[in-house]
Amino acid sequence: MKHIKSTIEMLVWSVMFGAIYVQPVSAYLDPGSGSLIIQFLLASIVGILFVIRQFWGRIISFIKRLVGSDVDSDYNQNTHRNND
Amino acid sequence: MTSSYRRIHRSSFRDPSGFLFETNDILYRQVNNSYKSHYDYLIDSGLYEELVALKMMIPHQEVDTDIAESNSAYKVLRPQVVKFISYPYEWCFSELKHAALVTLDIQKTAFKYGMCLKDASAYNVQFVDGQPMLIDTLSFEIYEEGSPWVAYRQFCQHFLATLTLMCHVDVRLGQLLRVHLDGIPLDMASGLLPLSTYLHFGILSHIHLHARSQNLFSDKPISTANKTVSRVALQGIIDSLYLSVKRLKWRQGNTDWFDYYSDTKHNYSSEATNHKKTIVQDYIENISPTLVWDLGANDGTYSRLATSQGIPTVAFDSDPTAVEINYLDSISKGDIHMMPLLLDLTNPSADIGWSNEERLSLSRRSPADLVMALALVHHLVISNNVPFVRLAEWFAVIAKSLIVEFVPKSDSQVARLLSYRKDIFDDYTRTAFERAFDKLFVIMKVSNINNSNRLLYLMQNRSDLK
Repeated sequence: MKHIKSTIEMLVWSVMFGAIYVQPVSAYLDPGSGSLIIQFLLASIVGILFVIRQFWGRIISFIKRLVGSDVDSDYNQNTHRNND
Repeated sequence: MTSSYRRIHRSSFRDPSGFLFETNDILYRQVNNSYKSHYDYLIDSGLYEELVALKMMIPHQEVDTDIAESNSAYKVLRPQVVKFISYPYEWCFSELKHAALVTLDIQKTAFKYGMCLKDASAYNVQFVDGQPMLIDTLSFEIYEEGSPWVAYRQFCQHFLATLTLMCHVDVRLGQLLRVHLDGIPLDMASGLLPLSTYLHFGILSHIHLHARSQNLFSDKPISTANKTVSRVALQGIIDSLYLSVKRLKWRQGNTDWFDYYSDTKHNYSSEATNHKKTIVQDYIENISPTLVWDLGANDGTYSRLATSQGIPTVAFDSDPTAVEINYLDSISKGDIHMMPLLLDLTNPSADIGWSNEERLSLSRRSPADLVMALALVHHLVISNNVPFVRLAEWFAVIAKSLIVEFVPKSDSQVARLLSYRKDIFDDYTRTAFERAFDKLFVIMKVSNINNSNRLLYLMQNRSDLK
């Protein structure tokens, strides 16, 4: 029963993802096939979110520049230590 | 090839791009011919220069390849020395979080130059002058269009899963890294996390679904068709990881030790505190150490006596809250010499990893020029039943010089420790304490702390005097 459930789940993932392809990666670390597949699966969603965030960030920083406030005071890029 | 002492670093064997070795106590990194194109790109592209300028990566000098360990050497580097090597299982929540963020910042910067991190191990980050920095120069590879991030699994296991568990379940779960040296298995993290974390997109995708994907596909041959991760998608994955880490916040819990100073104020007057600080300050100046370890440092009140003189100080405590407060406080005060670390002195970090040589025990990272053990001995002797002799023996291993406080039975703190147990400590006396330490240390100074019965000793290791 568990085996059938697992097979069905894998099929569902495969359908969601399309044809699954794990390219041999020339790395000394084993990236893990499951870790590569989840990246392929997430790719389009996070890619779109990234583009939206970039676009939105530009609008926010433009507005902040207009009103003269600090663009990013939460995280210090020079020290890489976040005091939150 | 005139060196009298050479040794390949025992933790440096996984990456065929190169390795660390020591010659006459100087650390070098050999870059192998197989890594030539990536190393040249790192240097020629300007990425190395930018990362060093941004204090994200330690600098190195290229030295003569005559010193190389093998004939596969393309370059030999002499990296900047890290004064004290610490490990992720010794870091508090925010130290691990900042190490994670700097790793992702490095990845973002590398990507601008057409490179990628090929690993994202938390052990590749060390704290130098208070900054988390990448110490592995060979962590980069030239980015190939369409390739996924090979270090994704490692980043999630080393950083994201650990931080998420520390934030959403219990901050003490960071200690799982002592057992799981390649990071916390994602199926374990997913199982331990509350259901509410399924509502966080980042945790859902990078931990829960990631774990499910690993379980489903780990041992299965998979059919192939062309599939790639685009440049924007890869940036999206890094951005999503960055946001997921950044949103995790440290939550203060109830801990035994952090209220120690406020609790003992009724017993320890401000006059006593000030006098104790004066004595400790005087002892530190007397030794002029280059590195101090403060054992049982709590929030670093006394460690600051050393850091304020510009002396790098490792402030150990077993309470995650105390270490966290000390770290955040050091950042806000701009104290770059403070290195707060989590350590249970009754079970200090051991030699672990491959052949027990990858990650060193605390003793093997010693001795420190000066070890401070203030208001600590009574806890180890009475709460943990460590005899004075055993205590002196361990201090003799880790310390060249020692500032140690003896708290007698007449002190209310010792009375409190004995209030719920039978007093089996007939030998807990000043005479027995001095007798035990005198075998291994020369007692240089003894001072009474005003308004208390406590004594402060300055001692020097006898083996160091020979």
